[in-house]
Amino acid sequence: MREKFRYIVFISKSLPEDKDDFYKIIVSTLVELFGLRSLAFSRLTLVDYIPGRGGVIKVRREAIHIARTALAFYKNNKTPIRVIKIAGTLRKAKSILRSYPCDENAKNKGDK
Amino acid sequence: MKRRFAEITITPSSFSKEEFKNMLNTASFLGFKVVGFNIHVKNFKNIPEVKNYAEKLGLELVSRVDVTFSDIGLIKKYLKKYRKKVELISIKGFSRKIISFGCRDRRIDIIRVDPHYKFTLFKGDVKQILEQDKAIEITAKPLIYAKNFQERVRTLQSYEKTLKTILKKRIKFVFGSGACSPAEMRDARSLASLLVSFFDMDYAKALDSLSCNVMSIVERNRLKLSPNFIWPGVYLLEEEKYEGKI
Repeated sequence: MREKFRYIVFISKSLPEDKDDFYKIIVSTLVELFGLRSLAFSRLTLVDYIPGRGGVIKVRREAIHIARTALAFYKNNKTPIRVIKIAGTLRKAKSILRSYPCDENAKNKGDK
Repeated sequence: MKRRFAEITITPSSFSKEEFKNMLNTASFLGFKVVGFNIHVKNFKNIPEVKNYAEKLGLELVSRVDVTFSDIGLIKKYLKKYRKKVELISIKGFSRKIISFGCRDRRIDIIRVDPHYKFTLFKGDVKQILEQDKAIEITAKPLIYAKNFQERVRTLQSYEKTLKTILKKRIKFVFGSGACSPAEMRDARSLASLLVSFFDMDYAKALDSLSCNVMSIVERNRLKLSPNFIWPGVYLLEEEKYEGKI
């Protein structure tokens, strides 16, 4: 059967400048919490990343909660990460990320 | 109907107006609609006035106080003082004596679980919690901000044991970030995902712990605090002046 993926769109003002740094942190958190097997089966990849804004994580449909937990475990000293939408297509996820107002007091229009 | 997420577990470390405003801003950014600050009775008078600011952001403020003391006499004194003033009263279950008292006393709404202390619920405790419609509270902070992996494992073990009892006995429970600063706050659905991935919980139940369960306690207590409340089950629906003779 064909594998199904979901795209997690997240925003945060304080993300590392380098895409690889952020990816390494998320992967190491996931491995620490759920092990190598979960990382392998989740097929987690960071498909889009904008440093001051947010990004898109591609993950297998069955591993959405694991990926969200790994994002929740990401620690920084300023603003937390907020998942605004879980999209079914990459095109939709990218358009949501680019159109979302990156303002703290913005309305919660992306809520599922 | 769309869920209204509530975060009532915020425990501010400083009591400046700026800090409270930052927390409210972050709560609004994370998509919460109801916010409550968990403040110990000793610090309750130091809370700055931020109700208007919360209303501007479209947030509803819930007043909450924590009456954790090791002496039961002192707890009773503060319960008497604050029960008719605040919407939520919680207690940290750090010893057998306090857990038992928290379950028994009708004025307490929430019993907090601290993974640093042993938390056990006996048959009688469960019965009283169910009868009085109380809730057990657990927070994500000890899991996310554990100092080392041993501490995280201990927290997971403690929460797993408590959640097993909660789900088996169908006790109401409340989940939250337990944040001390804006950076420690997390959005509601991520917190629910944390419960699903760690404890194999149903996603809908996890979301209920962040919305319905909190709101039901708050609404019940608001009704009790209103002037129309007479006795549990007896309410004044409409006040009408009677001018005729009886």
